[in-house]
Amino acid sequence: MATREAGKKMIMLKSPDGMEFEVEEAVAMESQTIRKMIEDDCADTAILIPNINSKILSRVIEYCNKHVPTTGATGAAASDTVAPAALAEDLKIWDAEFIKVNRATRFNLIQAASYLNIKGLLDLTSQTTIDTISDNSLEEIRSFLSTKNDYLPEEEQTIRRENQWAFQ
Amino acid sequence: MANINIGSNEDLHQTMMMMRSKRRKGLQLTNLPKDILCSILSRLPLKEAVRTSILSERWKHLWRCHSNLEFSLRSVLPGPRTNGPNDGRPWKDVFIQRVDAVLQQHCGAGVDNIQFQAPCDDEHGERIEGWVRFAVASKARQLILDFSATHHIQQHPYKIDLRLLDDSESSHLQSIKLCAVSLKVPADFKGFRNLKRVFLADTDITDGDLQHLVSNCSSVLEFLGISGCGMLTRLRISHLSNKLKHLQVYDCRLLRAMEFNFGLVKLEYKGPSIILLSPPGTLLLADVCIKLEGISTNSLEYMFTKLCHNAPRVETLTLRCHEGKMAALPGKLHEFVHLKHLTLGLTFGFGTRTSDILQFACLLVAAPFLEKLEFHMWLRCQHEKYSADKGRLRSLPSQPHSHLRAVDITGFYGEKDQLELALHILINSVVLESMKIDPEPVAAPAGLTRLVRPEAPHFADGYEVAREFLRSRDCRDVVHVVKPLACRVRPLMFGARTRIGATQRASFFAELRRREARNAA
Repeated sequence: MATREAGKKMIMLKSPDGMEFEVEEAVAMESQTIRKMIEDDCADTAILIPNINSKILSRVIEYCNKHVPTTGATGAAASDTVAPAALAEDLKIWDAEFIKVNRATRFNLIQAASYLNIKGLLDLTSQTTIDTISDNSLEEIRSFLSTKNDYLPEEEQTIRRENQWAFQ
Repeated sequence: MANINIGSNEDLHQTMMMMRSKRRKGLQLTNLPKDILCSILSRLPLKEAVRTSILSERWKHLWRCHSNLEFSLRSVLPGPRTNGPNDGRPWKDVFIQRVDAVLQQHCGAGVDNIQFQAPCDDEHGERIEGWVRFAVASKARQLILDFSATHHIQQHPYKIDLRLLDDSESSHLQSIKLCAVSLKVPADFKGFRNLKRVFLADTDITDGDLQHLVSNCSSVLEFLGISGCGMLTRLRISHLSNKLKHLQVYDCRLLRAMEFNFGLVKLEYKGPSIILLSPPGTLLLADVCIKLEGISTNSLEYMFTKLCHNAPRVETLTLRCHEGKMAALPGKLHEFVHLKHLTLGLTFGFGTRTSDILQFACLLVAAPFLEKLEFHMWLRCQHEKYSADKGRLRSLPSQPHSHLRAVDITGFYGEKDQLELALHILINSVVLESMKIDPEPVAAPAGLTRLVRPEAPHFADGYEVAREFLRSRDCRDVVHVVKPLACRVRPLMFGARTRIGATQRASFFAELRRREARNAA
């Protein structure tokens, strides 16, 4: 179902809930997983993306659309007029706005970025989690991760003793 | 088949609202697959990652796949280290014990980067050997052993056996950095298959051993850095199959000559005196940075007689040295036809100056395609501010230069020959877009600008001369003269009796710090 539109090759991505998304090949190839499929010629018909629902997939595509390097005839003209530094700054602001989502969405995005192997998106989505883990107390981290402390007191003591230096 | 218009705001809004209403019921981080969690944990410092083991049973072992193992005194042994933490054991033993404990718990696979930074020595040789074996077995891509001590030289440095790294398993290793170790390359050393970067600092490697090492990993090696290796006298990396692109040589006191293969692109050298690049064949070198210390050099002579022959294709050249007595240059100069960016950092000696700065005007002829010139002077000698009654300004025959766009001059004290050179460049560079004149020197070693108090009046002189004699000839409005700090906060600089308010003092030191940071950068 890969079609040609205005000289650009299009790829069809399909989410498990039946939605189909038509995207430019270059945008889809931001994902290393999809790039490999295309390079191995497995992308003739729609590519089914398992485990990623249409809402998350649409956001992922939105990210890739923004981050696809501007190359080719129109792209070269664009990069001539805008300085690379300003472009990077613009992307940073866009990223900050993009990542303002609730926890579950973010975790879904992490999963999607990891499966589709999109490094930039994985870095962006992981960062908040990393910040939370490194800045907060154990109880706060547990609440952030919705994890319950299921250790017996003596088990907890053993773990603390094993790597005492990390808890000092 | 419902095609969705990607990025439709309505759709996104709906998604967000749904997600919000389902708060805490959706996917939780803990439920993500283990490999994703491990990759997130690996972005945390090791210590933070180890701490997550206390969260819950699910998290107990996750950190053990951490792929970025950085062990340093600061991370493993925080706080004062005069002695062991509580029990009086030497801190080195405590460090080693903690590192060993972590390595024992680690799953031992999928390591990207493993580094050990602590002043360990041969006394702990067996333990260190264990670390190296772990690095090899865990298929680490980068290994750093940095055993340098801050306050002393290692008396008994760890003797690394490179054969530990050269068996088939180590073919994952792409980068190694070895500091303050003793390095002998055994005759039966097989070489590295995938090693792209090698950095050696403060090792006792000899000429022969280094050559043996490099020639045995030359098929992929791209970067070689050597610093403080005092046994080296002659560097030979002219193996034919050599892929080396970037070479760094810092502070090897006995080194007298370097021989490269012609493919080298970037060279950074810092050392006591001029180094011979031999054999005098043409090199592809495009980016050269040379910093010479101590002995006086004639920078112009060096550039035109030694560098030009060996590196005619150089595009970016940085030369920093102590400018000695200038000799007459040969009548016809070689041309650097590829040179686009030239940075000169020159210190002019104590006492009376014999060199004539106007001589540097010849650079406009010798580098016809130069686009950017940075000229950093530090005049540590008798100072005389130019004024109209000091005689007529000399001018050289017109040498139009049609590529030079940016000129940055620092340490401009308003000396006559400095002004003459600046004027010559200003008048002859027909496409000049900016000429920045800063009276304060950045050529001085970092941190020293604070100490040049006696020179503070020179800054004011330079500022005034540039304003009066240079700005007046600037019909294209390209000259920018930086106002020195000394002109703005004069009372403080000269210790006048005027009382200075706390705010003024604070802003002065804030500005000073900003400048130092800028200079350091």
